[in-house]
Amino acid sequence: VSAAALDAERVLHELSDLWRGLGKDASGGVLRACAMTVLVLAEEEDDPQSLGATVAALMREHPSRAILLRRTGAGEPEARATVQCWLPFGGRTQICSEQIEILAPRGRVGEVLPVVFGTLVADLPVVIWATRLATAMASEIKPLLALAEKFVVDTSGVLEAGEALAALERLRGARRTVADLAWTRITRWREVVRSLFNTPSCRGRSAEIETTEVEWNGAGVPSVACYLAAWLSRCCPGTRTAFRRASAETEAPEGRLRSLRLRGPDFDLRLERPAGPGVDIAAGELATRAIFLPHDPADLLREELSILGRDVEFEAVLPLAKTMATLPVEEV
Amino acid sequence: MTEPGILEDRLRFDLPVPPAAMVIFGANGDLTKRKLMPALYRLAYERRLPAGFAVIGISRTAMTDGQFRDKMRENVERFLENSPFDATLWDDFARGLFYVSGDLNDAAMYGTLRARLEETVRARQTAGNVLFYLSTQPSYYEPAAERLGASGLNRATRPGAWRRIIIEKPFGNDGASATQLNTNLQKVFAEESIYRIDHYLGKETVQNILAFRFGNGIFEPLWNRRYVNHVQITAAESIGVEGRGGYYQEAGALRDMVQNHLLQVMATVTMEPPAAYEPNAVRDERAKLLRAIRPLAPEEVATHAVPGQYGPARIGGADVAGFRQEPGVDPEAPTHTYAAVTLFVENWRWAGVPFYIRTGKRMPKRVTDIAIEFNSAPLSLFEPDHGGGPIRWPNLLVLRIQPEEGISLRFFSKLPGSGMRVRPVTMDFNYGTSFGTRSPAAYETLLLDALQGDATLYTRQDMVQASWAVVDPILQVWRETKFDFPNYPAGTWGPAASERMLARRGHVWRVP
Repeated sequence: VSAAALDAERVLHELSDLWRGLGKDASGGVLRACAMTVLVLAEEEDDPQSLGATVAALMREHPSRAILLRRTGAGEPEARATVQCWLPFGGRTQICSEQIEILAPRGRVGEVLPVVFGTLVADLPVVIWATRLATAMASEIKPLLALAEKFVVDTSGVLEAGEALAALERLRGARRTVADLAWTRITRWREVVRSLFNTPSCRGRSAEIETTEVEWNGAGVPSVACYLAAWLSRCCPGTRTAFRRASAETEAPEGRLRSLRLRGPDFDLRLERPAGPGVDIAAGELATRAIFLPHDPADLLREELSILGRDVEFEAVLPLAKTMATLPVEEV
Repeated sequence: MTEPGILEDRLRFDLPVPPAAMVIFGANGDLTKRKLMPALYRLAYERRLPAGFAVIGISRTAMTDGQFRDKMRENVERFLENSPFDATLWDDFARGLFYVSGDLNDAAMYGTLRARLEETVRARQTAGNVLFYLSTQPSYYEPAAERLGASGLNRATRPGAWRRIIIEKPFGNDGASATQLNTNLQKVFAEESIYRIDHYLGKETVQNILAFRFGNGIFEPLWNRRYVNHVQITAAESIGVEGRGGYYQEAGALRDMVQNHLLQVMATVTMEPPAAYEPNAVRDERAKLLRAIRPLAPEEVATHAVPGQYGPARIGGADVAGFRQEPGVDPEAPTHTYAAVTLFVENWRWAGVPFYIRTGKRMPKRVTDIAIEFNSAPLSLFEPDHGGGPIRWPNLLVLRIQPEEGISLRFFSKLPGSGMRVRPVTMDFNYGTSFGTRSPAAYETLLLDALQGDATLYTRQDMVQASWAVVDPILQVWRETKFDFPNYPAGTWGPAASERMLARRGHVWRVP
């Protein structure tokens, strides 16, 4: 790790020195792989260790140059370059990826933007991940938006989804797609519903569905519930959506989906998620279980980094989800 | 939502797999234990199997469903590779495992199987779709298919449902027996329902050959006789026959590896671009290429094909048995455990380019790769770093199938310092490390394809026939010739005659 003055060329020079040193030290050689720039926008309050672990976990599937721009409360802007390496099990060649960390006090991010611009990897896509929605919306971040092919945020932690989803819509641009990790969190739910509608007891029976019930844990209206309801209402127009909010459980985080039920006079499909990793499924005579292992941010980001073009499904669901956020909620 | 298509999200969801039951004949065998069941479990782990998926295992051993489940759990825990075992998931997966004990030649067993299948339709909602998997001795293929036909299990009873059958190689012992096997199979199943599995084609890296060739614009213009000097395909194993001596002494390396795996790999490397990535479009091109390989005339076999058999050696302080000393092998066995052949493809793209294929047991290491050697630059301007003389290191593109899957390109680079001296360097793409995620095992890919009705990576009968047409003339001559075996010690790269085969055209085998 080395400190560098705030100059893109100096940072890149530091990075080259690090690579050269690694090449000399490693007997089996090092492999420098890069498919994109991942620009992480974080705040001082974000745990640097878990952020570093998330970025490192991404590198195996999406080898990239990571630029971590962290807004701090005080101090002077500074930058440092690091290279992270790992030896794959049984392999001889170390795989390394590079990380540039830039610290800038809030209100002075503009001073470090030239460093960010100068250290992006040429000719490869740029993906921005803002760890908090508020960071993504900060006015001093705006000049960075034009760089991004994709802008990733996470609205899961927001108590009332309505405003968050409206803000997300504002982040979209002509060349830039937006993504919400809250939407990524429900991929498995959606996939299971899709597969159930391929079974004989559900196939071709969507017209029978009259009500979609989505139940979650804790206060507010989470965006995951809005997305799931919006997706189903898009696939199955004319159905009524019922939101149900359960009192908070100690072991489950706020906003965690607890169940989904699709009902009609002679139709009943239920997915229930007790405290563990499994989801109990009941569809007609079929009773089975699916395993939903816990997500960490790296899992979610991996999925999003795999999609660099337009995500038509998400684009269609987002405005619908915004309207879902205003529906009444039944307390259970 | 009247059509399942509206629920699709192609960017995020894998292709749907229809509800189905799979029937494994030979459920107590090695392939089921080591490959099929771990692959199915892994597919369940990835949530790729349909809800209610069922497996009915069949073998002679008397077992209850519970005992079968326990046994399969033991095997999955033992043979699952690069993947965690999740007991909760297993419990759910195991609820779909059933067992029928009986003899494949016993008509009554098929009645029991029918009842079991009906039960899965009701309890597991398998929709009447059935995938039969013949994981048995090849001699059982025809009787099992015949019994399936006689019992009517080859025909779906529900509208829109299907019945498919997977068979393992060998697809016959020669062209004639392959034709006979096929005729008998096709009496019971239509060609589009017969899935001939060649697990090499399911390997991620073999599929990557198609992505490399047809997903990029810069390689295909060089992929022809004008730029390619020759191609070497190597499939070496460091192990011996490992208890398969009885089978292997009848088969030999040419039947075991070249007729199926390596000719399929060669076809993948050399075929013309298909019009679309669709099963028959891809298979048509593979078949056309296989038909374009010129079969050797009997008088050419001696100079274009080399058999070998490993003898005993001392390796790393331990004595390694020769083939004839292996258990179950005849001490006078004339079997070839090594085969090298020179083939030519008679079409406009490849005319005159030699394709060298070699495979063998007890070689220095396990490696499978394809090396494409390009013609040297027409004029050498620079001095090689090894001193005078012509530059000996033409550009080489190596497609590595296993164990370190990837692609490397050898080219010249200037040596640092004054003067213009050049040295060969390689640029490496390592599949496993560039994409740190786990690649699916070949059987996972192929089973999923069969359930989805995608036969792209399966072998078609005309491909089988075309492969035998290449191999049969060589086998014919080798059968009539007495060779002085063993002719290479274990732990070496094969007989000297193999080197001479390449030397005739001024080439040498690479050291992979």
